[in-house]
Amino acid sequence: MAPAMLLSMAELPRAGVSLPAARAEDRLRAMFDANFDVVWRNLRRLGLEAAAADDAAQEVFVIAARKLATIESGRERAFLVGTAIRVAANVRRRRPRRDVPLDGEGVAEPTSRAPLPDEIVEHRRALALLDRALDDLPDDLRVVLVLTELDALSQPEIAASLGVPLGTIASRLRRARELLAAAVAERSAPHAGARRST
Amino acid sequence: MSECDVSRLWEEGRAEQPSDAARARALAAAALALTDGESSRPSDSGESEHVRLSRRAVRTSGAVAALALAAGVALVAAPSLRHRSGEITAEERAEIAIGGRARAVVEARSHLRWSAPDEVTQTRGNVFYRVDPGAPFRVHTPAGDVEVRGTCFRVKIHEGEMTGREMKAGAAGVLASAAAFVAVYEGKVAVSHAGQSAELAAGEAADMGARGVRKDADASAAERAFDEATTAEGDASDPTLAANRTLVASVGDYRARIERMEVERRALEQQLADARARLDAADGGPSAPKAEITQDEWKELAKTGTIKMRVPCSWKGGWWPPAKKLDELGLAPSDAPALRDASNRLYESSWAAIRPICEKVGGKDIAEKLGLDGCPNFIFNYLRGVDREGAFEQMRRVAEMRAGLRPTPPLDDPSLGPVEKVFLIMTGQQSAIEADLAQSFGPDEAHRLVTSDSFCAWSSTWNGPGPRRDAGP
Repeated sequence: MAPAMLLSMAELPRAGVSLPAARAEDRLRAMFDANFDVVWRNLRRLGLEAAAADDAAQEVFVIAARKLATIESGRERAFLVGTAIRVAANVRRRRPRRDVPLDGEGVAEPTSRAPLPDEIVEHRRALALLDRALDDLPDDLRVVLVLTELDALSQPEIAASLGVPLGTIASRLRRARELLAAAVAERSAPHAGARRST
Repeated sequence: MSECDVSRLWEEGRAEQPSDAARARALAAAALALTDGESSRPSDSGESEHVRLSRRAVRTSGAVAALALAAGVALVAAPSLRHRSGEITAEERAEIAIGGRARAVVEARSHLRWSAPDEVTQTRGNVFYRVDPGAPFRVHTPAGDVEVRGTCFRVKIHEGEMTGREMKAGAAGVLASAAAFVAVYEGKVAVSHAGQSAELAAGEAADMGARGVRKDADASAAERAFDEATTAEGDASDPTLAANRTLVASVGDYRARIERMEVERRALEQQLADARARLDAADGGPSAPKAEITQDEWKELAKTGTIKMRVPCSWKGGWWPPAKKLDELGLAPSDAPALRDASNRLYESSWAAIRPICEKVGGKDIAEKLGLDGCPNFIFNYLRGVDREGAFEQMRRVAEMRAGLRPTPPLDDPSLGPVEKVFLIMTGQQSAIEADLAQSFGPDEAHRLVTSDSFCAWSSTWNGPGPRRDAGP
């Protein structure tokens, strides 16, 4: 736990510990504690692999720290999630999505339908299936579905964040759920794994 | 593959956690960005650019590590408590476990109450249920009842706002009745209202209300129709409909406030009952709080002078537990202030003890900048750099005190060294907040809370120097 290197007092300012007023720190900390996991999970389901989501989540909070004074009180999550949507889009634009299995850990498509006892493998398979199915959705539908299912924002907040009417959000959500169910069914059909494994 | 299976996939998605290292790096980077304009600057493209902290960067910068230490807050999502009874007025979407075999995804503004593991009353809102096979499980709504034995289904309640069509047709009784919509994704469901009933299979739906029970063979189409009829977004400019919606919203808000007051009343009654029970049982004051790490474990740690601790979250203002955490802890929203106040008191007392040491070692400026999160790490590392043997010896003595191998002096004992004092404070924080919470919740409940995985805390281990040289083989 203890850091490997001792830092002298002279080095502290250069290392960036000249923190501003406690209020800003406290606010940033509260924002971080309340939202980091939500932001990270949304980034994952918006198509980023775990390592990329780590970096992107870091970028989201760095942006939030820099713009802290401009973030309206009570709108912190909306700001963070809106930023996460843009950061995820940038990452995906910069780097075409690779069709790699889960975090490069070798547990990929459910090519065999035989049940595996390992819960972790099942967990990863489920996530892989979810992500593949989400990949089949158009981006505008995917964003609404992910933000809703991962409890990121309320529907009015999503509408405000995306700049579309509330009714549009409701219809996108309905359509996204239908498409996702179809995509999951397609990808988990017994022939799907066999076809992909050949 | 039904919505039920998709729901399970989302459960997996919601359970996925970032690593503690990713949290620590992100918080450290954000803290640096807050303070150091050079660490983040606009790029030529106009997009924000920031210095990304790698794992190595965190390891090799003491200051960043001190900040990262603050990010070690482990809010590990534990499986929800299996509530046998409870009530929720969801301010935002929440997932809860009911009894031993049901889970409910409760959308915002929905209200749910249950006093038995297989019987729920949903007064309003939109709730998705997944019930494992077993005895009948019932959902009571204002517009009828639902009974299942093991299935996935959704219940949406419309609180009586009239549809545009009904309003224009001159129907009377703005809030005359509620309507409930039930969609079945897996298994079978029985719905009933005012003597009418229907059996629904997977893919089917029904709506219940003043017009009786109407079954529909296509759940998706029926749900779409129900949503469209109850949202009536196309008539936003119609003043009559707008007035109707305002009235319904006002009634809904009043209902929500009454429900919240009811929840708070019950919580206060529970606190009163607990207080009475404490008074009845108070024959020698509250029992001594237990430590998370047993004395036997401390004895093992003391052999190498290692310190292990679970530190409750304590920062200025205190930890304010979100609704989800309160749910996981099995607490009511009215319990949040007690947790926040205890967390704040722990911060105040710990900082009052550690701050003078930090000021002595690094100066007032450093103490102010590092705060309670960073000072312990700074003090240890600084003094270890000055006198490695001495710092480790003080650390070893604390492990031995916690193991009961040597007496523990009071914190104001002048013979205590700075490292010794800091580690005594840090290793005593869990007991301190437990004792504080015992004043509000009683000793048993306080112990359950602070040892729960859902209680905001972080764990750390400070490796000691190894066995004493004179300890023998």
